[in-house]
Order: sequence, then structure tokens, then C-alpha cells
Amino acid sequence: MEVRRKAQLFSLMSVCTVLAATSCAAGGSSASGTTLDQAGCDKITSGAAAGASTSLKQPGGGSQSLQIQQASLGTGLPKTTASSKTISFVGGAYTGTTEAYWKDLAGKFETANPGYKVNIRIIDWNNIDQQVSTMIQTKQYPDILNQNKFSGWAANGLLQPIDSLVSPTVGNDFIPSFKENSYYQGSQYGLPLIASTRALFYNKDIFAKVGISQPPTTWAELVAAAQKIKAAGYTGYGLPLGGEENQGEWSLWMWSNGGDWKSDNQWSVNSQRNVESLNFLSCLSNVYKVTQPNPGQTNRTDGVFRPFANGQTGMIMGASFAPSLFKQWNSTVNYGIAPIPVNNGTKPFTLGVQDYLVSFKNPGNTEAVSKFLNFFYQTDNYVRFLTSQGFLPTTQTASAALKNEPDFAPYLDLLPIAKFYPSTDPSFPKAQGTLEAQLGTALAPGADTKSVLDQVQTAATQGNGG
Amino acid sequence: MAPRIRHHTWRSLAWISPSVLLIVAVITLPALRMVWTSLQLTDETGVSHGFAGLANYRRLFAEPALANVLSNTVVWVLLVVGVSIVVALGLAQLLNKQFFGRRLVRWALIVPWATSLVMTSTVWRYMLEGGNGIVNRFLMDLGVISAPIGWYQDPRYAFWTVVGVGIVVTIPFTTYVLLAGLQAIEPQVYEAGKLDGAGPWKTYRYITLPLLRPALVIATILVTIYVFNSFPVIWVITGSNPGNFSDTTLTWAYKIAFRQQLNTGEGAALSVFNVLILIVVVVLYLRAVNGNRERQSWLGRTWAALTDRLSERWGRQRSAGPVSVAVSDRVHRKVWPRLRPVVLPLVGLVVAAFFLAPYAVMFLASFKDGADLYAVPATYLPRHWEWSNWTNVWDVLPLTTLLRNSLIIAAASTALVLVIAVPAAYYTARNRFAGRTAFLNLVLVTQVLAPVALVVGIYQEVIYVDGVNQYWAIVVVNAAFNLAFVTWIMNGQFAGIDLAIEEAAMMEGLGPVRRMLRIMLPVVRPGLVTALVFTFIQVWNEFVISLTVFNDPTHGRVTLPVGIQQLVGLNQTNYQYLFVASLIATVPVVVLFITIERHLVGGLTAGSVK
Repeated sequence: MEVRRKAQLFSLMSVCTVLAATSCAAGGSSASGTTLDQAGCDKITSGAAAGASTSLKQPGGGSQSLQIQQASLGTGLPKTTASSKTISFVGGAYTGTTEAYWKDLAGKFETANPGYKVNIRIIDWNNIDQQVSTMIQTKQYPDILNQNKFSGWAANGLLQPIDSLVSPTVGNDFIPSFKENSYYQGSQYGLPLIASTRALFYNKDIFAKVGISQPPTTWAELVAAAQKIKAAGYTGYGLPLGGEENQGEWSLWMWSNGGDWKSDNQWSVNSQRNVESLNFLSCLSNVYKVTQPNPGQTNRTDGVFRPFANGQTGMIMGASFAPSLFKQWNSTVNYGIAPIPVNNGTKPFTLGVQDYLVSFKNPGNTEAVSKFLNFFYQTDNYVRFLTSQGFLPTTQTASAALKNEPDFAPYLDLLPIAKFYPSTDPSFPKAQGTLEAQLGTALAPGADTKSVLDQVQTAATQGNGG
Repeated sequence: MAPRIRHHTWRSLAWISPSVLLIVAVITLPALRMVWTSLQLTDETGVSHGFAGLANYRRLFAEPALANVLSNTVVWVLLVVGVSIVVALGLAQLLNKQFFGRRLVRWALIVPWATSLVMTSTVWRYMLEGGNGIVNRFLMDLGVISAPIGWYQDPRYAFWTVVGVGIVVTIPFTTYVLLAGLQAIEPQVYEAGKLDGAGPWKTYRYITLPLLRPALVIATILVTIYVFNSFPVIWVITGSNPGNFSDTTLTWAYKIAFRQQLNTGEGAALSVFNVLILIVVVVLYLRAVNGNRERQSWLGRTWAALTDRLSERWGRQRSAGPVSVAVSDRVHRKVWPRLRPVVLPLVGLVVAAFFLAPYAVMFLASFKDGADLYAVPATYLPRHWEWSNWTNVWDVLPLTTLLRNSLIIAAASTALVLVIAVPAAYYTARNRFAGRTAFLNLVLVTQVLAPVALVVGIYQEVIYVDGVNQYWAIVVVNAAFNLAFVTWIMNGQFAGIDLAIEEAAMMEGLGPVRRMLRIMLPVVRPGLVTALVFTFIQVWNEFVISLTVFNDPTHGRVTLPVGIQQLVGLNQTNYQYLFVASLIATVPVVVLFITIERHLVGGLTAGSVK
């Protein structure tokens, strides 16, 4: 009842549009909190919102100064005398078959290189941070580690530059944008392992049923489409801001509005533009009411991908690995793929997520590590990893090899416009952790959106010291 | 009670030093490491940058979420412990009565306890989903609710949902601890009460409760610690929910160390703070209940006053209303004996069905395919029975190896802990010696420390002794963590046995070792079985430490819970396989329990000394 009364109040307010527009000019710090209403929300997608003059450059592809040519140094031979032929590999469990893949690969490697041994240990993603932290605290560094970050260890001097550990054929084969994103202070510490990209997934049957012919290209169109879909009894847009991977969803909305994690090399998570983006997400849920219930507490796979695969949702931000999941779930959903809808005239982009292989400095491990890495990146071994785990390649050879795979092809084309998380910044894991742990609270009706982003900004700019 | 036998302190060492050694090595040293970490400046990756003084503590106390998390913790412990104990008192009473199907009810109650907490929590989470949860489907079919509720998602309900699940998963364990206590009460006592004309309430108040007091005190302490430290329920169900709506200090410490703040120093500070709180709570509680009758504490006095008033009112009602007396007398004499064979099995059936329901859901879901698992609304039965789930899982996981490893480790750890803890428990129950209280307190404090907080220190030690991925190392660590429970349970059991039983043997010149083995062990068999089952289950389901110190898939050295966790992928969880594997993992524990269950049946005390 209270909601209805509020709605009446809001419709009254929208009569004096000017007043509403100024007080709710979404994005201003005063607009966060309880005052989001129809007019304020519409204002966000009208293109007239505050701060539109922010330059819309794309930092992801801008760091040309990195030394890509360095990779031609060739495979360095080990200079230490106590060379170890047994190395440890620690990785994350992407799927239930990840461990089987690595064990099989290690077996093949040991056959091809008698005397060498690779001990495989695969940890699920819920526990890997805790396990790796334990290894670091007890100085039991793995020789090779597969993770989604590297710069913190690089900053502590624990990693060895990795470009010299792989042959030039491997080193020069990486897609440049991925490789650029693997440097810390001029040295390459990460080898791009896997990639995924995002796109708008829309249910063609639902679109046909409610009479929408084209997938939306702007936020305003998305809202209009979602409202039609909602009226037909489906979820208009599936919005996952729960703790599992909400940094992906958030980045898409932030970037599509022209905001960013950092601007001019300074953290800018709580910029006015970003508050506006978060307000818009709150609008989707609380004002337009086109999302599923509790978007702030909904996780991506179970809460959004599953209902979409079951045909209950009109639109979601899908991912390149989603089709293989849909297949496993025997989904019959008839869906199309479209670019991410934008606001404020932002240029088309996609989110590219990449994970890395890094190598810790353990005396005498370079030769064995180098041999194993080169073995892994042989096209057939690498492609087998990608297809079994459902991820996109980070090398040109593998991209060419996978060009005709229907599950991969549409996403491979998106790779050139991919933007990345600022994962080369050692502060990013903490910003990401805080975002994951808090962003969803901003979706509660009446929540103070700016203060949530302020927390992320603080986490990014303050170390653990003091 | 005056000390009966005085031994020199060195004699006591022989009985308790193995326990002390184990505790110091596996728990005290890593705990010191935890304190040390809390005083270090540690960066996001886990690298230490020197001494930080109390900075981590200052940071912790400045956290805006602290007040909310603390109040959650208090509510969580009080509600879960309080409700569990009350319900368990009733259930233990029921299971101590003879009725048709009692054995089945006991088996049903062992299943939730035997299934690892992680898996139980996983199935609860699955059942409590919003749109496609079976709980919503069930309640909507009953007409209780009209639209699905996001039980664990909606911040309004999330915390109360985990409290509810916490209560349900704590009851079986609590019931068994209390049941062991009930069975130690000799039937003759009740007969004496009957002769004196005591009604059911008076019998319960003046015979059962006082005699159950030692077991109740121990149960309360153990359950409090168990609940305080029960990480998986909250973590699995609401751990990925943004905000701190349902965090307790334990899950929050994990978030601080590895999720949000990425500050292991601050996480360790919270763990230290946790342990201090728990120690204070436990010590206060012990002082409150252990006071002598004369200088009884406020808690004991309150309890006595409360029950006295209740029985008084009961008595007054009887005298005030002659009709009701007649009715209740008639009910008691005529109606109840006739109803009893029907009512007790019926109640038992309902109890069994309630506690088995989540595992029935798990079983049925294990035959579902990917679409069926997330059908909206949820389906009770699979639409297509995917029998292949049960065969495929053997290809997905090296289940035989995992089962073998877990069996070896659980059996060896249980044996080791019994061999070490039982003599110590017997000796401390029968003798007063210097350091006795210190020993018992040391044991209790180890129970307070959650493994997840100590794992770094343990790992470092295991590396030091070259025990990584070795069976003996994980066996020793597991034994240490279960020592406290066994010592306390057995201490309570031994202390509750009349000295007269031993005196005859003493006359015949039997030494303490033989007295313990030949006379006392048969008498305390229910307690022994409880301790054995408890330890086996704890070790069988232990996750965090195995994940760290016994995890070498290349050489097939992985335990079952760690192996099953592989099914939790980055982008999706294979629920059907997860459920199949969990059910398979539960079978050995249930089988073990069924084979030794008859030893839990009461009446052993009377017949043991021949």
C-alpha cells in the first residue's frame, strides 16, 4: 500500500517535470537514496543527464607503450645449477573436467619429456583465493599458477617475467589486446590463458510474441522492450548483482554509459557518471520493475542464465561460455545475440575477461616451467583445453582454428572491441572484492547508491597498511 | 566430593600427556601463529610487510558492519542453541522410549548428521531458491503463500532462513548427545520415583533433569561451540549475498581475509576476538552451572526457581480443579496406554519424515536433468529419470579412490582419538591432581578454535615435519581436533558412574588400566559409541584442512569432500552429480551407525557388571 502511495506521489511530482528533473537529475549525490522516480529514471536514458561531457575514450586498448616486442628474446635456458625437474601446477576448476584435462596433459608431457614431472592441483573457485593466500603466507609458491589476477604478486617480486619462458612462436601468437593486459611495470608476468566476451542475449520467441522486431541498441530501447516483455508475463531483463561475478554485469553497464573504473589513471568508481549508471540499475528494478525479484541478491548462473535457458526471461547479458551451458542443460531456448545496448552515445564495446598463467620464482624451476608452458600452448593441446572448458582463445592460431565452430565464431569477432578490467593494477582485486560484496545492497529500494560506490573507491585507493 | 586416590603428578602425566602433546602441536602452535598474523601488516596477496601493532584490531573495530555482525552472532548462537536444545530434549526423550519403529527414527536422525554440512547446506539452498525452489512450491501448494519468496535472497528473510536451517541441522547432533545422557540414567531410579507417586512432570523435573544435568551442561557447551563455529550453513546459503545481512563473525572473518578486504591480518584479528569471546562465554557458563548447591550461581538459581514455579503451578491446578485431576488421571491411567502404541510411532514417523525430507529432495534431484533441476515451478519427481547420473559420476570423479582415502583417514583418526582421549577422560574423572582443571580447560579451548582460522599455521607445521599429502599427518591433525569432544563426553560419562562399581574390582587388586578397560568401558558404551560416531562423522566430512594439507590428485590422495567440491565449477554447479556423490558419501556413515546402533540402546548400564 505504501508503494502505491509513493507511486501516486511520484505521478504528482512528474507533473512539475522541471522540479522532478532537477531534484532527480540522476547521478548527483542528492539523487541517490530514496528519490529515484519515473522522471528521474527516464532522464538517465534521455541523453541529457549530467556529466555527459566526460570523454568516452577506451582505456583498455590505449596502452601502446608496453614492450610487446620483448617477447622475441627466446627461451631462456636455466642458469641455476640446482635445476628441478618436478614442478607444481595449481589451477582453478573451470568445470568438472578441468582436473581431468590437466592430469591428462601432464601425463602426455611426462611421456614426451622423460624425467620431468608436473604435479597437478586443481582448486574450485570458491576456495582458490584462500588456498593461494595460504601458499603465499607459508612461502609454498606454486611453480605455475592459473588465476584471474597477477599484478599483486608481481608488485611483491614473487613472479618471474614470463615472456622469456615461452618460445617466440608462442609469445608472438597472443592477440595483442590480451597480451597488453598482462604487463606490470613494463614486464610481462602473465600468459593469457582463456578469454570470454559478453553480448546481449534476447529470447527471439518472446520478442516475436510481444511484437519487438529488433533487439534494443540503447538503454531507452531496452527499457521499452523490457516493459513490453514484463507486461506479457516474463522477466523483462535478468539482472544479476549478487556476489558471484557482479563485476562483469556492473562493468557492462558502467562502460555502456561512458563511465569507467579509472579515468586518467586515477580510480573513479564513484564518479557522477557511475552513480548514474547504478541509479539506472536501481530504476530497472524498483521503478520500471522489469527485473526478476531481488536482483541485488541474484547470482548470474543459477539466478539469470538458468531462467533464460528455461525461456522465462526476455533479455540478459550473456557470455561466450553460456551456449555450452545451455547445451548441457538441454535448453531449447531460441535466442539471438546482439551488441551491448549503450547510453549517452557510447561507442560499441564488449567486456573481455581473461585469466592468466603465471610462474613464481622458485630456484631452478625455469627449465621445467618453460618446457611445460610451451607444451601446453601447442595448438592442439591449447584448443583441446578451450573446447573442453568452453572458453575463447587468446592466441591468433587458436582463433583461426576455432573460426568455424558455431559456438565460438560470433564471440571471436567481438574480441577486437573488448575492454578489460583494470587487472594490471594491484589494487583491483580489493576493489573487485568490495564491489562483489557490496554492490547488490545498492538495489534495495531507497538505498544510497553513491555510498556503495564510495566504499569501492575507498577499497581501491587504500592499502591494508596503517 | 573428596579425592579418593591421590597420585603423584608424574603418574598423571602418563595418562594425559599424549593428549597435551597432540593439542599443543596441532592446535596451540597454529593458534599462536594466528595471533602473530593478527599483529602483522599483510597485503592483499598474503605477503607480510612487518609488524603492525594493533592496527588490524583498530581497523576491525572501525568497520561499519561490526555492530550488525556482532548482533547477528549473538542472535544466531542464542536462537540456534536454545531452540535446538529444547527440541532435542523432547526428541531424546522420545527416542529413549520403546515404540514400534524407534530404530528407523534413529536412523533417520543420523542422516542429517552424517551428511557433510556443506552438502546439507547446498541442498537447503537449492530447496530455498526463489522462483524454482521446492519449499516455495510446497508452501504454495498448501496455500500458505501465494507468490514465491526469495528465502535466502531477500534481505528481510535471509538471516532468519539460515537460523532456521541452522536449527534443523543442529538438532540431530544435540539429540544424540542428550540421548547418551538419558541412557546413562538407571531405570531403578524411575521405579523409586513411581513408588513415591511422582507424576510425569515431577519425574522429569526432579529425577530426569537433575540426573541429565551433566550431559545437558556438556551438550550446551559443545553445541554452543559447534553452532558458533558452524561456518558452512551460512557460507553456502548466503555467503555470496552482497551486504552483511546474515554474516556472523566467522563468515565475516573469511570475507575480510579472502573476499572483500583481502586482509588476512584483520581476518586473524577477528578470529582472535572470536576465540576470546567464546572462551569468556564458556567460562561464565561453566561457573554458572558448576557452582555447588550452597553457593549456587544466578543461572542455577533462576533455573531452579523457574522449574519450581512450573511444578508448583502444575500441582495447584491439580488441587484447584478436581475435574481436571480426574481427566488427567484417567488420561494417564486409561487412555494413554491405549494411545501410546499408535501415537508414538506416528510422532516418530513425522519426525523421521521431516529430517529426511531434504535428503529425499537430494535423492530425487539426483535423477533430474539440467532443465528439470531448475524447472519453474519446481517438480517433486523428475520428469525424465536420468538413471545415467548415477553411473556417470563414477567417470567424473575417482570415487573409489576418494572413498578409500576417506575411510582410511576417518577410521584411523577415530581410533587414534579414542586411544588418546579415553584414558585421559577416565583419569581426570576419577582423580584430582595438580593441573587437572588446567588440562580440562586446555582441552575445551581447543574445541573453541575453528580449523579455518588455524589452517595457515597447521600447513606451515605440516610442511616442517614433511607431512604434506601424507596419511599420518592428516590423521594426527583430525585426531587433535576431535580430542576435546571425546574427552569431555567421556569425562562426563565416567564421572556419572557410581564409584561402587569399581570398588569390587579394586578389592580384587585390579589396577587402574584394567579397571578402565574391563569394568568401565562396557558401562560407558553408549557414550563411547556417541564419541566414536561423532568423531568418525567429523573426520569424514572435514574439508578445509584436507583441502590444504592432503590434496595431491596426481597421486590419488584426495578426500571425499575435497573431491566432490570439484563439481562446483566457475560458471555452474553440476547439482545432479553433486547430489549423487553426496548421497554415496553418506552411505558408509549410515552403515557404520546402523551396525553399532544397538549399543546405543539404553539399559546397558544395568547389565554390564556381572
